[in-house]
Amino acid sequence: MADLAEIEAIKRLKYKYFRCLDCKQWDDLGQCFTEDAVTSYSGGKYAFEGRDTIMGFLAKGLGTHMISMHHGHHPEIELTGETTATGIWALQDYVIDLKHNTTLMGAAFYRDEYVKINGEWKIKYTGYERTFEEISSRADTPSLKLLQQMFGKPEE
Amino acid sequence: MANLEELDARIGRLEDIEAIKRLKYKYFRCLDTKALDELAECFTEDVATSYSEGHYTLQGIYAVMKFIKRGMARYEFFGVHQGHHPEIEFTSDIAATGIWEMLAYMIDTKEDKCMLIGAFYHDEYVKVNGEWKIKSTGYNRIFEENWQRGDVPSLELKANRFASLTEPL
Repeated sequence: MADLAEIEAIKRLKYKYFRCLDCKQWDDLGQCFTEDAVTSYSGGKYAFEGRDTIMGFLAKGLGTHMISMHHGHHPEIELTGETTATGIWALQDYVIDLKHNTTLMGAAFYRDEYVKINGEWKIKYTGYERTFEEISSRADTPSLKLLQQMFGKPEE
Repeated sequence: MANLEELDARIGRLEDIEAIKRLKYKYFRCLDTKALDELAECFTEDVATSYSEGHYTLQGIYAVMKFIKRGMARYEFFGVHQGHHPEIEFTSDIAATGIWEMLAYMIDTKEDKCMLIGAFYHDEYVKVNGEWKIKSTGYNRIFEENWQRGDVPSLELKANRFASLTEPL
């Protein structure tokens, strides 16, 4: 019973992480991590230590010209102790890069470690390995039109 | 060790979360299958919407259903609405809020168009006679884009559950 509530809380943590990532809410996103969090994004290509370093990387990499949609599916949460847990997630991401006029579509598996601090679950370690990532030029679809975006005026 | 009453309350909370998730899944399913009578069951009588950053602000189930019916009426317009990442929060035993990330991919065979939307829903739910209902709902788009299907010459529609239907809803 207690396990179910913990698993639900960890899922919510990850959902908040994805939401803050896509809404570019960097302060709220920072709260998802422990201070000494470690990342190994894209198979270790983007390996960082410490919350501030990680947040710097994410805020820079996902500037307002990047419109991202990250979806996490299929959580496999394992409680490894009273205050520790691991999680595997299937990621699907769709990212529009307005500067380079490209669309990225990718899939990956996240492997996370969580820790409960003062009653709240945080991400202690996170990283993913790509299953695939493909990029195409938006110019290949001549009629493609961006009608709305959260972070500024659409093109045209 | 937790006493029975406390345990009961904690199980009840998890059951409520599950019931609210099911409500939202039903809402999306009814949208995509154009089952509007069933969709109306998801709402309270005084439901309020704020779709598309508040561009479509409607009050009351009659106005909301009329709006949805107008949007979904044509059988040449179909696709999927998927809700991900539920963040359900309780404000009382019979009231809750929810945030969801939505992906919508819609096909319009008449206009020969496709549409892709990413958005965040912000909902309010209430429990009426033991059943959770949507009291308010709305979304803010991360992005919306559309394109002509003719831009992809090899694109072929292989299945369409509404193919044999011609009269609008």
